[in-house]
Amino acid sequence: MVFNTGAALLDAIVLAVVSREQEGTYGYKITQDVRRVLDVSESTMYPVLRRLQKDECLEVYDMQFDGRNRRYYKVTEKGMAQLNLYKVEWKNYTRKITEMFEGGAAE
Amino acid sequence: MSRTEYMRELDALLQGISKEEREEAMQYYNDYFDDAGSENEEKVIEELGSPAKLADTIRAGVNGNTGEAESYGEYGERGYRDCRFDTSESPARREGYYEDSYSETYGESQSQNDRNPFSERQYSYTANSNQGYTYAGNQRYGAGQTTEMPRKKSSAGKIILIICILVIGLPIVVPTALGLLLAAFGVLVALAISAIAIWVAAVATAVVGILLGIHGFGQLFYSPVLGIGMLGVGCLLLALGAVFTVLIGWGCIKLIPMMFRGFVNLCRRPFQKKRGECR
Repeated sequence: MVFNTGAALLDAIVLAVVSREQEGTYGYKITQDVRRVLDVSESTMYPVLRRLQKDECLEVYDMQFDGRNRRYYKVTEKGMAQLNLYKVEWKNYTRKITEMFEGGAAE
Repeated sequence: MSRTEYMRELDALLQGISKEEREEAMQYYNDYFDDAGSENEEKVIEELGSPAKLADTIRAGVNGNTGEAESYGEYGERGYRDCRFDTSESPARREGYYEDSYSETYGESQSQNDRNPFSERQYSYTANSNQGYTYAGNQRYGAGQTTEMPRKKSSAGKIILIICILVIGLPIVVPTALGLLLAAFGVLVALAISAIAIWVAAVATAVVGILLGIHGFGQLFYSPVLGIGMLGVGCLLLALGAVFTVLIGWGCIKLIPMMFRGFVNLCRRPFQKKRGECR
């Protein structure tokens, strides 16, 4: 992609991806989902998830799966608030850029 | 490299961080391999990059959460980026980038023409980017947070070294230079004085020649032989004295200013040289 994806946008995308799963989701699936829209490397996801977890935007729990423990991620309330903030910001941001590109409402 | 080897190496490389962080990361990547399935094992290893690179990414994430590094670095689509070392983000600054880091970044990654120009300086961990580019990015990132301090130290060390050299060298260099200067000056003065002395001698010879001539002319009437002899010797001395007077006078007029000019130039040289270097 031509445009850089900053930390905030990456956070927002990860939160959005995780929030779609009511029961939570796991690292590999999150990575695959994010990679459907962004060309991120697989090693990028762990630090992002870990940071969001530390910021209490994500919570983790372990669940039995296939005879082993699998770590699941779930968006917290704080995470949801953060995601909504990101969504509003993104809407404003893209609207302004689109206006600029299409030369529409320039005052 | 198999998954087991990969994870063992990663674990070893993560010894620097806290036990909790290490276990967390190890659990994540164990899960990751499990969920990817054994059929994707090689693909995952390739995607994640070398254990060293992955460990760097994990460590940077840990530091980013605890230290002030957070305000500089960020995780982007292309991996970890640190704005302190990232100067090519905006097209406006790209001129400088091409000049400054051609040899560092561009030189190492010959085949990046297919990549977009905005991401050249980012710290990429994308496994599908070409090897040279990834390596360059990783190397810069790896060196990033640690090179700042030693560079400062080395410049401080340089200053201390210069001061030491000055302190030790001053008692040797200053007297030596002063001695050399005085010696040169002494030689010049001696040359000038001897020149003057020779000139005086030449003038005196000429004067003696004249006096001898006059005296000889007087003697000519009493003792012609002695008179003629004295006249002759007087003329000879006059000629010799005149020649030497003229020669030395000319020499002094030409040579002494030349010598002094040379001496002055010698004294001025160190300062001129410095000025020349600054220019």
